[in-house]
Amino acid sequence: MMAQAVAQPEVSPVTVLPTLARKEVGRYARHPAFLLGALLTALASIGPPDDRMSSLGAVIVPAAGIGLFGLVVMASLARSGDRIAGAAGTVATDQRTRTLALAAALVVPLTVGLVWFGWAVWAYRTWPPPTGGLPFGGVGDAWVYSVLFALGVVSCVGGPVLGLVIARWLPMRGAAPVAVVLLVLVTILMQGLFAATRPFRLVMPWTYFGGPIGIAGDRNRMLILTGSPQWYVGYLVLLCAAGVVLALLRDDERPRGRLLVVLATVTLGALVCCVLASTMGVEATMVNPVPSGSP
Amino acid sequence: MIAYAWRSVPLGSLMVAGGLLVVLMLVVARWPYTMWPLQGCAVGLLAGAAAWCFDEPAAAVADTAPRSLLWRTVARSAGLVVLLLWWGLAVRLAGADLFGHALDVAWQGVVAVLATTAYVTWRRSRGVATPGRATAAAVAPAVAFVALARLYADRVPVFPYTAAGDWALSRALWTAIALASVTALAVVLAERRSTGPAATEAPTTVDPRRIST
Repeated sequence: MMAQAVAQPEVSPVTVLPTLARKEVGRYARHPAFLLGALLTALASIGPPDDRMSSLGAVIVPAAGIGLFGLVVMASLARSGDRIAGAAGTVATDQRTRTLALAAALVVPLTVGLVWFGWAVWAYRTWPPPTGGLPFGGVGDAWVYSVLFALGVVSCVGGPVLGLVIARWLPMRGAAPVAVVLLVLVTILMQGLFAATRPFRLVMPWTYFGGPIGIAGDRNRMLILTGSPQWYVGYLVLLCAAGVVLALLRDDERPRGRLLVVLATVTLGALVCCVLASTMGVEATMVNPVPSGSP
Repeated sequence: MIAYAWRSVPLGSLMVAGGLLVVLMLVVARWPYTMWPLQGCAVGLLAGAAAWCFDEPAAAVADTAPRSLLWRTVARSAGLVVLLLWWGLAVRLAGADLFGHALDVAWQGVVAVLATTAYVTWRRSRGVATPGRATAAAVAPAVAFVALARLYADRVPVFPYTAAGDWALSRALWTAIALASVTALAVVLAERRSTGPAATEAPTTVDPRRIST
């Protein structure tokens, strides 16, 4: 009898992961905070976009509605999963498998981000910005679409990835809401509004590439800031990958050597992309020759 | 009551949130035109931190004890006093640089605390042990979204911007929320007083490790 009880078949993480991943996808899609964020994003996307920047003026909407909400959604899902595992005692799935399943749930915010991207491209073509708006000069559609993708789509995934990292490494009360506020604080400081932070603003995972930043005598004049949004997309994607690996590293019950190598490689790639994003593309701040018209 | 409040209110978390409130408002005061969304974020953080005060992980035990929800809510409100003192200090330090509307900003924070308290107390009265965590997790990004995206800001000025913003309409909006919150709180607490202890949804919402400590 005892021998039978002990010799239970071991559950392989390979067979468990797809099932668990499907569960986590469902839990993410049904989470009230995600639904609220998606609703707010949809509401903000009704009607014509900004009259001077078209959909480029709306990149903050998915970043806040899906990305910021995603940070707390993912932290909440990770923590509730850990509570269940803790209450159950010995569980068949280890933390690394649960983390991978949560990472699979990123498909939900990514899908919403891609839908928003489709809307943004359509809106940009339907309501193109005027000559005094953004973009202007030599930058073309590839620049616009890269900015929309980096700030609109990747941010939808980046927020939840940050939530996953926080849940794994800082599991104290209120860490996620405080992280939301700190993220907003640092992002605003580094979004290119201050000349002092512009040269290294692309280190941040969310920053503007242009807008009504203004010049002396015309505080709403459109500017295009330095950098390559195409390389910035690469930097952000690798940053997200590094975040997932960092979250996986929290499980110290399994060997971590290979993960550390992967993390080092991805981080190195991200650094290279960040340097390229900062040095390629637009080389100097461009000022729209058309005045803003506002006092 | 003081001893109960001392043990039950998460003072450490509240002090961290309070310190962050001061930092946020000082940054807003330094660059009000560019950093104004942080004013809304500060209100969201204040509301979220207020929600933490009312979590009762051991609700399965507390709800059957002689101390009523009203008594416990009043005791736990000591945490709100701490938060509001931090908020008062933050607004006071930023005062002159809030487009001349420091009192309105302060009022927003007070109302946000009232509204959160009413909601979380209602959830507690329905047997949810720790509604504060989920509430804080939803409130912080939701308010940040409103402050950043400024959705329908011309018609519903939740956080008016510059002296030219519609502060009068905003004040009326926040006052209406305050009245609704106070009414809801009074109804919930009166209801629980007349019907006795809440039927806590144990054990699914209770963390057994917290009960044992």
